[in-house]
Amino acid sequence: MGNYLTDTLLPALADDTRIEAIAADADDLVLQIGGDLLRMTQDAEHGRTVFWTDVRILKPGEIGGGAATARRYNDTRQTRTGLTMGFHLKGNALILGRSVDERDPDPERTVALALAMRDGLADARTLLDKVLEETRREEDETQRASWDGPLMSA
Amino acid sequence: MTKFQDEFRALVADYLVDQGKQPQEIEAGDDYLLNTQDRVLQLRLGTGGAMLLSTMIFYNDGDAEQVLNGPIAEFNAYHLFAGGFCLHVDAASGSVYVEQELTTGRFDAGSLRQHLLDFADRATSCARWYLDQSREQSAAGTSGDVIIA
Repeated sequence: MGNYLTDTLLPALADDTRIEAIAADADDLVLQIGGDLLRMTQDAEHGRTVFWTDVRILKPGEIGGGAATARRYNDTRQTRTGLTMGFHLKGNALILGRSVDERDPDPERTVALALAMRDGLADARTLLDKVLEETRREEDETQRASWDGPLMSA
Repeated sequence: MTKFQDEFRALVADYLVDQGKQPQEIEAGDDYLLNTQDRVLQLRLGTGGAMLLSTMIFYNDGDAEQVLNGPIAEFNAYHLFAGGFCLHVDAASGSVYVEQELTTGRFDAGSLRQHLLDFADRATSCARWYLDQSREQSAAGTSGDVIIA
């Protein structure tokens, strides 16, 4: 059985003007839209297709903030966008994606889902910046509080 | 009423009749609570032909336990590529739910019944996994965030 993404969808979308570039990467399909790279992966075991992208590669000190961002995103925005945020420990990647219960989405549906994900990405990055800033501020305050104690009692 | 609403309601009605309900007992709606394997599953209409299936896996009594953000974020990244299962934390209570988005048009009464059984099993596995994670975090004395050495 051929790979639907690379054998069928890739040629069907090759001339689509809404997509800046499209390429196969092993069994995945990579689409460039609005300067962002979005990926499609088949979840063959469950007959589903996954649209996903990296929100950002996190620095080691940002992991806790990244996990808190994922929780906040999934609690507040997922119902509206259908997108899920998660964290790949391997590679420290915070990812955003959607698993659709469709084995072979047609070209029109594919573009619609990819555009929706592209639209959600900017908001996800803004939320990450906000949560990381909050986390940094809380850490600073905790550190200040831990310094204040001994100095005041001295 | 939209086409997707029609499809969703017809599917749930077929399923409930298959389960022994009389058609006149079935109330039309966009949100149902279904008892499967002693577990209450919520099946509700989503957008664009999707429906959302979810259930609670960890009851947080008045937000008493600190929720494990790190393991949940890892779970969600892994399962995005393995069935599309997603863990949510209820903002008010801190209880944890597992949810999966499904396409209404892929199911009939029989396949929905089988899927609900599979999902109930999966939810039990998720609950066990979450409790194990919780115990590990308590033993390690961490706050639940991912620690990178």
